Amino acid sequence: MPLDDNVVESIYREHGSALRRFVLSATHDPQLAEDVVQETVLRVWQHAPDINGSFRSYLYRTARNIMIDNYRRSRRRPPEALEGSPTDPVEVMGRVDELLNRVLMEEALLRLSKEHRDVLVALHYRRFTVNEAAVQLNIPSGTVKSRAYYALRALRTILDEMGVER
Amino acid sequence: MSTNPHSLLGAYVLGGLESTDLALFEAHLQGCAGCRRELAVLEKVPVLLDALPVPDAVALTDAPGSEAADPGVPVRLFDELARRRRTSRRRWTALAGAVAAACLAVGLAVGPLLARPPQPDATYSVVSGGGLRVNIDMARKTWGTELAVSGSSLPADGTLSLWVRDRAGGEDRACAWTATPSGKVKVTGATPIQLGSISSVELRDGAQHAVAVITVP
Repeated sequence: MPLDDNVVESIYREHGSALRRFVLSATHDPQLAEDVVQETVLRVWQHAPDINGSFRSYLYRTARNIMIDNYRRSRRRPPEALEGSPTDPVEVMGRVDELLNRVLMEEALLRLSKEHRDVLVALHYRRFTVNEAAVQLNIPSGTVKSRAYYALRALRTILDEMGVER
Repeated sequence: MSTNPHSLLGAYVLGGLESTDLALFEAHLQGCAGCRRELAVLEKVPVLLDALPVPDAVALTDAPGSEAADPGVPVRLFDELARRRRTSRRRWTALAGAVAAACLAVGLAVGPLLARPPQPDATYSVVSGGGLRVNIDMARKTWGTELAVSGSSLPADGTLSLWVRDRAGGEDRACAWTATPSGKVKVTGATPIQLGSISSVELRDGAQHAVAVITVP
């Protein structure tokens, strides 16, 4: 079966730049990053997976696996090939996973409504109290409370869809 | 000011309750199994939120709502792709089944062979359990594709023919020859179908039954 240009094109169009940003944050080598992006799209196309949740988080995970695979392979090469790259495998893989969790969470937050996201950011990240958030967002504190609840529920649902557990 | 204690759960999980509401909610939690259940589900979310650094999260408040909320398009595309793949796999399985009795051999690419002048652009080989062996070198031409066929242990009577199928489903007879008693043949055929458009090549016996199928990946 020939490579389905439409599908591949649409993956690039919809997700290419986000995917590239994620991979670049892990490798810093633009050529290498481009290879990983291409391989990700190719692998996703080849497997034609049945995706129930977020397609983008599936792409991120696939890219993450490719980067980990590449890294493992490079470790098997003679030591001189490793010059300039960090050598502690636990550290490198941990870093990639950390980046994966970061982009997944960013993705999840972007899928919330703006009202829900603003309340979550105010309470969790900016450490505001309910009343401070109410002043900051210019809404009644009762609204902050109820939005905090519905935002969390919506986020949990999104994370479940994306396959993020813990 | 206090409201329905249930509604404090979200702000409680996110650590935003002031002391009065905090005391109120914690007292409520003692007696409310529903809130405790829900708390168990939601209390892990802040740990996950911590994966995103604060400045990155704060920067998201400038983003419009639900920017990435439409994963539907590619998912539909992939459903379609998966469906088409299943169909094409079934088609080939069915074909293999139908001609299996005729000692069908199905082969795949073995990659270009070196030092075979003139060098083909693709080489395919197929060998069946019965000993039938077909090798096809395909060369890209401006007019289409040249197919150099060599085979052994082929059917020994009737007219044999080589058919090329393109990816749109059309087919073309590239060459035909009279079977030899030795079962061997070396023949060159031609088709206007471009190499890249060839989806399969079939060797057929005198009754037009496929005896070998090569699917081009």
